[in-house]
Amino acid sequence: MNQERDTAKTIVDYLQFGADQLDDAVATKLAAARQRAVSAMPETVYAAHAEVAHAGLGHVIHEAFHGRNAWMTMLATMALLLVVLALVQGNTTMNGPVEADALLLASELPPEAYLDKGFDAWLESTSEL
Amino acid sequence: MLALTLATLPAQAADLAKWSQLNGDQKKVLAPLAAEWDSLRPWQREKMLEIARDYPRMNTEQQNRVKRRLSDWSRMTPYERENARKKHQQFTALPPEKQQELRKKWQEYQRLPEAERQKLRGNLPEPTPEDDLGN
Repeated sequence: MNQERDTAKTIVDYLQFGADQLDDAVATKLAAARQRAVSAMPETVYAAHAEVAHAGLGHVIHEAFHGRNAWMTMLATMALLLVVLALVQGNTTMNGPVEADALLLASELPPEAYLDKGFDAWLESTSEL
Repeated sequence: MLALTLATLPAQAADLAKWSQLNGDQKKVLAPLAAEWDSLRPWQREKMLEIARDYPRMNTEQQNRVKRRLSDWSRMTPYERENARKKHQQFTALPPEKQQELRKKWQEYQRLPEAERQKLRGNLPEPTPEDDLGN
């Protein structure tokens, strides 16, 4: 998860850096364009945005799960859960326990020690193990 | 979306199959197997890729052991590998002092003349071919 956060932060930093480098003239043009786009927005859409902005979180959540577009919310929630699940699984795979074969190959006693029948016989004849 | 996610899993496994499709880190670890990689069974490759995945988390000494042993390990039969896994599990369940004793015994056994070790090997029955099943 930290890696995703770091990546997101890097992207934000780049965007912020890019925005900081803009000429005042360009920044002014962008601000004017945004203003024109907001002014051209149809009344109903603007009203819907305004309603959401003023309705409060509880109302928005209730509308999302019980309104006309509840199925879209459910679909989006399921998609989000799947993405989270995939990320958690990926994280677990990367940081999970070392597999048995890797441990076996890395251990001080080599694999052939476990398979050498002569070693077994010799152990039986020389020790109590 | 779930179906789509699940559908991509076999494709991902297949993508990992060929030596030319491994990434640089995987190739570096699995270099002892380069010549035979494409002839390994898919489940063998999967096991080896798991080892390559865990490799960076090992210390230098462990990494050297893994590299030395990979080639022999890949040539073992499934029965031998499974047998080694079981015995390794038993070994790790032993108290540390017993493990140390066993490691010492292995060193002593290695110092025996090959003829004597061969003689000791002959004293035990061979495993039956039917046992050579599984992973």
